[in-house]
Amino acid sequence: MSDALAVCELELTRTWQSRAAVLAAFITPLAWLLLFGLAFDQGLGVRVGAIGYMAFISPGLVAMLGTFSSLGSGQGIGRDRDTGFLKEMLVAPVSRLSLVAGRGMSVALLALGQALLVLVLVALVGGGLPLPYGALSVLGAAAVLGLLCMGFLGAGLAIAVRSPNATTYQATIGVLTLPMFFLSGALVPISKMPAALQAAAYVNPMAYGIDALRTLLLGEAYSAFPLPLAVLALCGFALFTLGFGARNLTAKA
Amino acid sequence: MLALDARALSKAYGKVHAVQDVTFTIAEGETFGLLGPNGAGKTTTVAMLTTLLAPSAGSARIAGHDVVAEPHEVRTRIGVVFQGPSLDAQLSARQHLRFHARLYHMPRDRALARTDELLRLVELEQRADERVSRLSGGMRRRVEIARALMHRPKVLFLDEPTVGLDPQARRHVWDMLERLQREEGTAVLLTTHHMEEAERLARRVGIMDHGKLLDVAEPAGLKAALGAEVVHLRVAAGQKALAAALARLQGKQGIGAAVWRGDTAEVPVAAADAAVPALLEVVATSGARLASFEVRRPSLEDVFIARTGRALRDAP
Repeated sequence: MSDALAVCELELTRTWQSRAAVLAAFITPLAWLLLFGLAFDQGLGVRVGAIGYMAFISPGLVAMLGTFSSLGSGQGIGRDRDTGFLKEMLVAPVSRLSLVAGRGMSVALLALGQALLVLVLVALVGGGLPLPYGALSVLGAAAVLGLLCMGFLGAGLAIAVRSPNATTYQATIGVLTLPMFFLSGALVPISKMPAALQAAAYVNPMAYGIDALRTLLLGEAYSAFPLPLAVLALCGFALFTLGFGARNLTAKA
Repeated sequence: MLALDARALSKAYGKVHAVQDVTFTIAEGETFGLLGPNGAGKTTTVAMLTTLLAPSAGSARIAGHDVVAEPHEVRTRIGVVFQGPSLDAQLSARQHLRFHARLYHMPRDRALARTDELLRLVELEQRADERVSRLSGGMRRRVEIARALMHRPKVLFLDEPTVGLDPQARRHVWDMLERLQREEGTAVLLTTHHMEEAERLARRVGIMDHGKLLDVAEPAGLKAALGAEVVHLRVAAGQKALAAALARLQGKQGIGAAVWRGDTAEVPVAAADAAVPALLEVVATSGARLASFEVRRPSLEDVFIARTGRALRDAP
């Protein structure tokens, strides 16, 4: 555990040293909510169920931010392999899992910070979130977000360890992210998507993360899957990707 | 207890034997040099000894702990300076040392004291808080060496520590490593294809080629095994008298038969330090005058050529 904390601390230091990355991490949610969400919400008057569009997409945005930074952090392990810094960690008396978990913790912390910003913004200008379970809604959502981050960190890592170089990795991630986002139900309820796209959403791990967040933050009426099923799917996804990634984590490509 | 004990260590990839039956030991505080061309299997040997690669056969112990059965115990006792770079360019030297201390569970106050001590040792106190991307190659190497020593390892692995450095930076790293041998007393496994480096830093040297360890001895012993030292006497005057005198000296003090090439007598001797006084005395009493006098020792390079049939530099 202290090993994972050491890695987490290092990751936060590295993130903090890149001011542009920190700035981007907090401007992106602002842009989505205020420039995109607000336009649909108040410009077009779009509502989903009893809530405004901005509030509706906020769980999806939180999940998207966590997903993308987790994939990026998984890629960071690949970058550490390319620069050789990974060797320093692999030869230390530290388990591979704690190397990965430490990164996961740092990326989850960042995602939680972004989520907090989103919640506050929606409360201020988007009519607020229903939070059907009160404080438990928030704690549960934080846990789901952490789980989602672990899963996609593992996915990023799995792709990184299987890619011969950074270019291949980035191309693979680039091809995956946007379709995954649009097929996740982040912007449109899954039930309103065409049948073929709905089927695609069912095999999209991001969709389960967003759905669980919606159950917790908006209420069951806004979700497509029962919460236990979504959480189970996320657990399975995280275990698979982290296991695969950590097992294939070696010094050389 | 031995710092390192490798027995019949082997690594095969299919039918390719990268490392074959490598056996050697390193005593506590001793510096051992693995000398061989690129592709000889040195780095693969280091990877097995540092738990990064599982051996196909054989075994190895670091300070009594098996590298396969007890990797965690081994990792806490080794420090590694890898052949390629292993720093994060955006972190400073101090940040690298700090993170290392965390990974090796060093108490905070001890880590801070050790950081200052090592930064002084590698002469980087002034640059300790700059990103390492702004340091020269030699300085980065010194950061890696300091980092590997943070947790006071029993065995320090230096895999080609000066490769890619210019001669001046290389000498600086050597000076530093010599100081470190005096002050730290850590056992060192040094791999190199650089003759001078092995002779200067290692007490014993193993010659490695095509995955096999061909010979292990002190550098002087390896050279002695190759043949005697040869004293070259170039004569300015009195060649005949000297030739006669040298013939009478033959057999005494380990002095062999002189071979004349023009005006130069090449006298093989068992050990120059014992033979030179006798030779000089003979020169004086024979009345000959010398133009030059030289003791030629076979270099490790000569040893390498003799053992492998090829030179280190042009080895593939």
